Amino acid sequence: MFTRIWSWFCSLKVAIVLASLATAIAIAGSLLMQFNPQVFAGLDNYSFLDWQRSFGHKAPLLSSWFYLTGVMVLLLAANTLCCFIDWLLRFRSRWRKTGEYLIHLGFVLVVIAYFWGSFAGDRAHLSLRTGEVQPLPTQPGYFLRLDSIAPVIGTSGRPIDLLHNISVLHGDSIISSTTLHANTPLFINDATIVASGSDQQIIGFNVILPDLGYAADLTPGAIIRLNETTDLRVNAIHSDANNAYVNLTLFIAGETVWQGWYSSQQPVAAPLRQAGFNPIIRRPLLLATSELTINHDPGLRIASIGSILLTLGVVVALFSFYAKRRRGDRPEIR
Amino acid sequence: MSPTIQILLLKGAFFAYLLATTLSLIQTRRPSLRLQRITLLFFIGAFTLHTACLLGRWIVAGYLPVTNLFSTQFFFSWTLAATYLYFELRYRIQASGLFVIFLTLLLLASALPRDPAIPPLIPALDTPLFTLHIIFSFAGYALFAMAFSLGVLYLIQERLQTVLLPNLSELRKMNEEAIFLGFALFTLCMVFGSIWAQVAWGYYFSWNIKSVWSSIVWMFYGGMCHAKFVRRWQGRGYAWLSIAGFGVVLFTYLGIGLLMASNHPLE
Repeated sequence: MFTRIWSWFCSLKVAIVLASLATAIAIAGSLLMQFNPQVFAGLDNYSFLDWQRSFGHKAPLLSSWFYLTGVMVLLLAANTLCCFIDWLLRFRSRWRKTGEYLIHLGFVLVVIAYFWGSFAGDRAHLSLRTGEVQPLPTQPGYFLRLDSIAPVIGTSGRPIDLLHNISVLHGDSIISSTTLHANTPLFINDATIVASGSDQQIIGFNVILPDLGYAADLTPGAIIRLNETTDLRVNAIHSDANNAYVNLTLFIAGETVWQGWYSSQQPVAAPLRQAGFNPIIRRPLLLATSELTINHDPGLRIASIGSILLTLGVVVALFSFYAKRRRGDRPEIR
Repeated sequence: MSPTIQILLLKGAFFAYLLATTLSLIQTRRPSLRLQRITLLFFIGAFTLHTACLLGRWIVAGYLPVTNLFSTQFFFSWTLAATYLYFELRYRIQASGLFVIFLTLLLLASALPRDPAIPPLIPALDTPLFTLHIIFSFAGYALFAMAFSLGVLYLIQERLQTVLLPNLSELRKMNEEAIFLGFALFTLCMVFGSIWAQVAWGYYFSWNIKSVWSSIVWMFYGGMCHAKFVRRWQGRGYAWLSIAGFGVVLFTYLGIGLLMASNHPLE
């Protein structure tokens, strides 16, 4: 009884049926995916579980093919693993098929790693300003600091790449400094950090104050002396497509006399105007930011072992294929 | 290597392939050992010119130039020619490989009017993983094209029983070999592509339609490598599977590249 069940688990025909079903469902599903970008376009930005929580559960019919394919691939991996174990038990008589069975094991490991990573992994996005330190998501105790960003200029004179100089801190100490750019990620434990782009954040505004005859930078925390007794503190800034907003506090002789928002599209509040604050915005003050993608994949090491086994298996299988051909060891025609 | 020399080599290769094909066709009507040898010599000559052009472009560029439509057509045609030559030298397949030679000619003919200038390599492609991914991908595709051709010929031979084609046993053997080698090389293409994705994007599998279909191709041919052990699928069934598999390959290479938005555009 057990032998029969085991034979069924190891069955070649079962493997072919499962592979055919997985292929057929994936063909149909891939087309659903292509024509429903509102559901599937962001798949690569999330771990599978997070995507399912955010998008997949809202479209259960459209995303059902994932589960069907997943079940087929898992069953196929189980069948492949049984075949591998069965081969291992008869290794002495079937060692010539080592290459093929390394491919089997490699496939099983990659499938396990992918499922593990999809359900236990996490993908995060981090926007890091120059000089800023932020904790590394998914890796407690680790911090990232962006030291600088520099463009790489191509022969056409256009920037073709960006060098993101990053320091990794563990606690208070810097443990490494590295440059992220195209095809050069940073690996920390089972997290892969990739520079996915860059941006510029408005951190303030450079303004001219005509009544006072000088220019000033309105950045959070800055204090601007308007006259001997009057100071203006910048609390916060905000901007949208057309407007600049600055939250200010006006002090006269150390006493708060006014606090509120200055907007570039609104008349200046009377107390500010009377104190000589009638600014003309010259330009926003920009600070480069690195857009980082952090992919925490606990299955990555297993997937790496799987890919090594696949490669090794192919090489061994190619050698043994020609050896088998020389011996005439191949299936015969009816 | 100057563009003029490249074009000369390319045209030389094209006309030598054309001549070899014509001789192959003549041979189907008037088989002769001498003609067979001359055909092979022309084919080897064409392939040598083709290879010289490829190596020259590779040396000039400093990387395997397969970053635009001209280059991919050029490189794919080279892998097809190499596949034909492998089977010709190993099995003397002659006219059985005509489909693959026609495909080589078609790709070269469509590449010839295009600009052969080598574009500067963008940093995203500046990695040996890209080179390995491309080489194994096109080598796999070329072998699947050969398997398709052999599958069609198997069905023809089954019906016609002609002496112009190898016997069924030989055709089946070659078909299995093409599928196995194609699957092996395509596996390496997938492995190197996944490693490249990991270092470029931070994950080794993207839910992009090209990646999904590449997995489908891999799974399909993986299934075929097993199907040869099932009596029902041997012979005719295997031939039909080779034909269906090439349909999947064509959609993955051309259909997705030309008709759909993907991270593997053809142009």
